[in-house]
Amino acid sequence: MAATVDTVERVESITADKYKYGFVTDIEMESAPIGLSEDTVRFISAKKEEPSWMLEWRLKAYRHWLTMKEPNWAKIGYDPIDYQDTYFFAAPKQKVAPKSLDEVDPELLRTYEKLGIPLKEQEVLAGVAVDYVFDSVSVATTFRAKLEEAGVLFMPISEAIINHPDLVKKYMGTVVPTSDNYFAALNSAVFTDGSFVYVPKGVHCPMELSTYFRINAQNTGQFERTLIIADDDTYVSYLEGCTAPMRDENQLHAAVVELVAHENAEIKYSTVQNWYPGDEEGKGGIYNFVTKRAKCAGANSKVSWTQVETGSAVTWKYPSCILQGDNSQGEFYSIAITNNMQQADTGTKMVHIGKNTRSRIISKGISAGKAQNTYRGLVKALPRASNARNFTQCDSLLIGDRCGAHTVPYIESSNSSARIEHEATTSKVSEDQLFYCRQRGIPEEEALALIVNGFCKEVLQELPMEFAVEAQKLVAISLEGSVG
Amino acid sequence: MLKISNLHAAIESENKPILKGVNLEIGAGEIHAIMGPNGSGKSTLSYVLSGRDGYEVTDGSVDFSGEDLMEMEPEERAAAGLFLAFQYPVEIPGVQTMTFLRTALNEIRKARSEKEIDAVGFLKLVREKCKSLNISDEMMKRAVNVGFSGGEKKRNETLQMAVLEPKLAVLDETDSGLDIDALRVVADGVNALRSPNRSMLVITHYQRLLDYIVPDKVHVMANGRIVKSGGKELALELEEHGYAQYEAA
Amino acid sequence: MVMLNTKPLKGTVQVSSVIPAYQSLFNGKDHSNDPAWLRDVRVAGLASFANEGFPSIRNERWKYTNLSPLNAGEFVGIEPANDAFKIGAKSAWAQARMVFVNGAYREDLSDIAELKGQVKVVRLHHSLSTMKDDFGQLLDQDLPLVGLNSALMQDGYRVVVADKAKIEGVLEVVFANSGHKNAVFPRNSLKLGKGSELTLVEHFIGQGSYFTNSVGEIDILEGAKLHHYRLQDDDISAINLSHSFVRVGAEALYDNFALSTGAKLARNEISCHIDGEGAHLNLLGAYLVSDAADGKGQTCDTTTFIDHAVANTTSREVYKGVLDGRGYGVFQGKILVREDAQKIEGNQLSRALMLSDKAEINTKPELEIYADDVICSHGATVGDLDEEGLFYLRSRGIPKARARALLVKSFVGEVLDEIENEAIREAFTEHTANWLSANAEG
Repeated sequence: MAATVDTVERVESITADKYKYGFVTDIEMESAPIGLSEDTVRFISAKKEEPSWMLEWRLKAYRHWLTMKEPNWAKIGYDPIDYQDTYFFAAPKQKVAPKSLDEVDPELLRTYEKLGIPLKEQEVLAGVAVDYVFDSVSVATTFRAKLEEAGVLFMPISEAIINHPDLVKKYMGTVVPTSDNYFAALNSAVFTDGSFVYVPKGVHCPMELSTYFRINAQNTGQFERTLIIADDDTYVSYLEGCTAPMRDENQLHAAVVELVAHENAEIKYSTVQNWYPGDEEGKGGIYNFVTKRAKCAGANSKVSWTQVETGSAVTWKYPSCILQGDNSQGEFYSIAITNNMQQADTGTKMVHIGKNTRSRIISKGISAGKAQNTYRGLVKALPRASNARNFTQCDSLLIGDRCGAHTVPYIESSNSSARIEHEATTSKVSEDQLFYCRQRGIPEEEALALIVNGFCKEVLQELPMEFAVEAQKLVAISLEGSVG
Repeated sequence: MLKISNLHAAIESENKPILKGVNLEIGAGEIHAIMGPNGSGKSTLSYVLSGRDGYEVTDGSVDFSGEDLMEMEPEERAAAGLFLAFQYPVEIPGVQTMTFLRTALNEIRKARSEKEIDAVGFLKLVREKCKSLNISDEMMKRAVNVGFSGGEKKRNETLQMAVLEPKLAVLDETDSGLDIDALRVVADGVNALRSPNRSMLVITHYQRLLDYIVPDKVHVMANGRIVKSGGKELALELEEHGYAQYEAA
Repeated sequence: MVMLNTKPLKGTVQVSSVIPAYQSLFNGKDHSNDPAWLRDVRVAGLASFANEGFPSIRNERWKYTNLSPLNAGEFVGIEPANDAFKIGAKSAWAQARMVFVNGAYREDLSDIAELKGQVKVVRLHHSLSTMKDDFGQLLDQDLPLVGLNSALMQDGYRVVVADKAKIEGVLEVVFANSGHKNAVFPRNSLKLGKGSELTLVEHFIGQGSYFTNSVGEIDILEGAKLHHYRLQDDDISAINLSHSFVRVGAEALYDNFALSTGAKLARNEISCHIDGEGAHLNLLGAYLVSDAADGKGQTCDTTTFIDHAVANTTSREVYKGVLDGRGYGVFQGKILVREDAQKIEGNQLSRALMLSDKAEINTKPELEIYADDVICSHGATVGDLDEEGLFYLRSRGIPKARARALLVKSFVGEVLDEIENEAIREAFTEHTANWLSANAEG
């Protein structure tokens, strides 16, 4: 049965609780001393038992960060972040790293069950390997043995630094340099964990890989770092999901994701971002400042980003593709929903360097309440990018007269044979559509969810099945209270 | 079944009265036709009955099987058994007709405290209805009305009516935009849905539709009122003499 | 004071000799005849220019247009006209004409007697003493180029159309410049009374490497209609930076078409504030660029800002660019719909045709929307001629070069056809055809 058919049941099952992931897990934690200094960086590196090259790399990033200014060009406003009042490391206290799920703290297991994401392999959705990141550390990675059989490395990045230093050294920071931007530099200095994936030549990854991120501790920033390398002639699909407890103060999430696709490799990266968005008055919520970038290094490589952004108080995120290899392809499918006081400034960059490179951008922005939702994107064709092609469709939907929807595309071409097409529309939810649904007996809020899911369909259908259903449900939940 | 008494309604934004005292009573199983010139208030009547925003009821009442229709939300009216076949069915991109219709049916069932129908049961139901109406179920897979021809849109309306099984169906200019063959298909569908406990209100400008859907009673609407009522022969008379005599009134 | 634009980014001051150069140009002038308020405006203008200098590409509004050629401070002379540069007779489509040569009004070349109706057409210079309440009201003095113009402006046109006056015929205003490193600062003012109508053409021509920094204020009162055409045919050694500030009242129409083929470096910026319900705006234009005199590419920047400040207003924008040689095109278009400005329709289209491997185009269309009952859209395309179209024509026996020429002509023709005034449409079409045969078809 198609995912859309399932929507109905899912929409029906929506309960009144607006953010069901908002609970706090009471678990014994250990943290780095509050604030940020070289000592913090050294503390984190020491905790992770990192080799010295890694510490040096971090310190270099930290020193560069000190010279940088927080960017202010995005259409977002937030209180200044006090980096000296943030914990940069928090981990559930655990004597030794768990060898198997049996060794994981039962309280943690219960947390993931409550989130609807059981850790026990037999209960996990068939064929999905999951890495669970709780605050600053990875607490469990499932199906590792099965993946290893296929030669796929899937592990916490902290482990990869120790066990696969050559791969990490070779790739980390090559797509997003430590000095790339303020938040990327910060992440490079203090990242604590995240996922590492390496797919060796010729391997079609036998299952979906997934990371589940959870911020739990108070006053804690989460700085995860993900590195995915798809060697020649490979395929991998990776999913990430995120939640956080409801807290009155804002929490910082500054992640870096780097993807490298070699010749004939394809990476599909999907995100359902549902960090706590803050309450109706805009109190609390996650500041989500994320740098995601893919390098299509090899010929005929392909990277596809799909994101469903419904959470966070502030989102600043532009998953991008550097289309270096000839005939390489980049895709960006995005749904960004903002309600109440949420702000999102998100989009993509497609940089066409190689010949015959192709990119496609489909962005659906939905703004309700008093939220501000901005699409910001760059499509650039460099002089060598002969026959580059881009198509961009960027639609915004407004629900209510106190929200805003903005579109800021940059289109730059230095090649006469490149063809770039950009279309954008902004309108409100059609009264006619709402009335038609209601005349058939569908109550207003559900009619809205149905119409908005229809509006987003082109993006939803890009998601892996397990996520598509979840995402449709989220669309409905995110818009609760925005009509009537 | 339906009793409209002295109904007055205006377009909210323009404060412009359109219905100026409509009286109409439809019994169970009866088919009534309302005919009239453009701008007489025919379509407004269908919108006021179904509860569309933008119209203000300034006087009068509508009783629907013992309930005050004007006090209800559009979806409550649908649950109570009122169905409007739209003159111009709207397109809803990305929403599969199957999903849409099952949502509608289950919402109506829920409102009536009936058991909801699962996906498999629904598929079976739709296939049956399509078969009995001689409509291909292919359009159930497409987004609601998106890219449908005029005839397909009207057939889709008929199919939805068959699935939702209303007590009263209001057919607003169902013949508009249809050629004679498409009209016949739609009319056959509507006729197949005639039953002793289903009433219909057929709104049309032209008599031709009434050759296919034969009414029990015909009313002439002009200037916001029903100015004449009669049997089906009234439609033929209108066809011959036009609306001029009523418009002057 | 109507603020049409957001403030420029501060702190991007460039170290260059240009600021003192303009300061001494200012100080060298006799301002004793200026009324006190005007002296204040000039001083404030100079200060706002001195604050930033010529904006750098780090200023988001100037991201794509590099003004560094101006930073050497060379464009400070105001010489008399070069005798060798002859101004011809007025254009066939014009009934009346004003001519400014190197910034100075030339009565001998002007002829405004033929313009029928209740309209006052004068040199701004002669009105300044009485314009206190009408001067600088629509513009944003904080912008450095506007400030520079306020400090140094001497003359320009001042046109006031009486209420309900429908002016027959077309008024042409010629800005002719010549000489080497000359700088001219035209300041224009146009006011249309309620229910009036006027057709005006601004025509830029010249010879030499001069710099024009022009600022205009256009106030269109309730129910008035302005057809404002612009032909920028400057010397391809010249620099032309123009900024028009337009206020459109209720039920009024601002109909603008800009055709640009000249200058080494040109920016035509239009900021429109729609503050009356029922108003409509047409911003249309075409730009055709190729190599400049110095062998580098011509730069042509079209920057528009439409502020839908009130409900029930509509705007439409279409720009077509043809880029040949090393030509460089920029289009930046922003549509703002303010809170509570419901029932807005705003549509924008930018299309650029790249005819050469060395050409470059940067486009930034932007929508900023704070009301929900709106239908806004923008579209932007960049690319070469449609291969299918080309093939179709060739399959009918038309040689490749001819087929390309036809397609380019029709590409620009689509927007030229929207010029309402027939004579001007023909003149602009002819100008375009001439440019194409001299450049793109070579």
